[in-house]
Amino acid sequence: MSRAITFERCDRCGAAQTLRRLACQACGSTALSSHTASGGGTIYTITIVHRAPDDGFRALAPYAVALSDMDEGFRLMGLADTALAIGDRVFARRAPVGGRAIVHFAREQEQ
Amino acid sequence: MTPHVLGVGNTRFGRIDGSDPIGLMAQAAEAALTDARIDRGAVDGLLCGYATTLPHLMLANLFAERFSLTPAYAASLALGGATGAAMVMMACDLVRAGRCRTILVVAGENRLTGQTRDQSIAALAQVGDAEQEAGNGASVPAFYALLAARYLHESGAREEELAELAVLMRRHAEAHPDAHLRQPIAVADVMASKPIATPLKLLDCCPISDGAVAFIVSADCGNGPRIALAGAGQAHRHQHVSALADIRRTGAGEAAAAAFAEARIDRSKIDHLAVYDSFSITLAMLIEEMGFAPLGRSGTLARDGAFGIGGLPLNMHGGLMSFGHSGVAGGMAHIAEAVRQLRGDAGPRQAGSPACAFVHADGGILSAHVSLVLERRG
Repeated sequence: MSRAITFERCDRCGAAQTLRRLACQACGSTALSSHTASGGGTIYTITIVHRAPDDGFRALAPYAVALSDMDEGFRLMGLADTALAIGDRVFARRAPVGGRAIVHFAREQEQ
Repeated sequence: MTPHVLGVGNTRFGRIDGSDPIGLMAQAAEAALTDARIDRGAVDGLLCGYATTLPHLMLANLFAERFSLTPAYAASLALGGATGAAMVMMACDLVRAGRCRTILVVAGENRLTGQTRDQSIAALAQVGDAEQEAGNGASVPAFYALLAARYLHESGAREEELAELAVLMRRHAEAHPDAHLRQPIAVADVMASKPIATPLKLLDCCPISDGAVAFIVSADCGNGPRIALAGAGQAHRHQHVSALADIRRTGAGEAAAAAFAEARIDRSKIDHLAVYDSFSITLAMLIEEMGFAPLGRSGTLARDGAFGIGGLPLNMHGGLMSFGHSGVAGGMAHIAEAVRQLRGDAGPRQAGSPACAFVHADGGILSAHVSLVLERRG
């Protein structure tokens, strides 16, 4: 199970892509390369889910889902510590949840 | 040739035991034909939506056969909640091109009685990216909750103010006999309702309903009030919520601007509004992005009467949030109400004598946008 958080960046214009793309969202080039993210980001928005969409997540409820502006310039969704708020600096890592490596955001620790 | 809305028909919305999509569509279509005073033989074009309780490769052909139509032109469209408005826009273009003269636009679904609530939510999960979003235990309500949390942060508005929009929709639905939810509610009821995904609570969300709506769009204007389709516009900037870079630029503004431009009007000429309201946050974001209220102020304006009779009337049928949401037909109910209001046919819901109505629908997570301008011309 891969633990890395990867993202795509356009080889031509350098734009980081949010979600998988088949062409650069900024310039349209199809020359996209995969990079490993540092994991650092800032919470853009966060919600605490009380009503889970399926049985798998029902046992975890309530749980927080967040969108983070990652330092490399892309936006990433993941589970999050419920105490996080918009603007908090976070570190993202993958953790196993139900057999899948889910992105999880935690407050960035002092280095 | 100017396209007109010649006929409108709908079923009631709510729990309709024993209903099925084709049957509901047929009921609405028959009502629209009767309203238009035409026979089915006059219909030369057919546009259908989709039905999650009846996934089918060729829903228009299936409906045509069951309803005994033989159109010269037929298609089934799918853009989520924007489908109804998109079908009306396409019907306009077909009439203008001279391709069709009289088009039946119809959608309906037994989304409430035809599947469990979990199945409905699961079907909607398609609008989440399978790899990076759905795996996080997030579906449609949570995606909108993410937008709502950011909206409150950027605008300074409060949850109680968003709740005012839910209260307004319910107040309007009280006067519509076909509406799914008509029990009055207050802000306190919204705030006390079950949390779904913060900051959205149950009463910030539309229900799941059975129901169908149909229109006749034609080059003919009929003998009654002439309701012309003056302008239309679309915008598509993303599908998934992660890809929505700025909550104030979803595409709604672009779609509205294109519709105003085609209708050759300024926003100030609009005297009636019908805006998609899957959640209280949807309504606030759309109203504000399209310039009908300043950022963060939709709720307070609703509280102060700005969107009722005497102001700029909004969703006088109760919107998705109270009239109901049966899928594609949900957004079509907004258009039906706008037409009836322009005609002066809305009975106890009649909000003055509007001349120029603006309709906006969105699909996905504020992903697909369609705006329409309808005018009464005589």
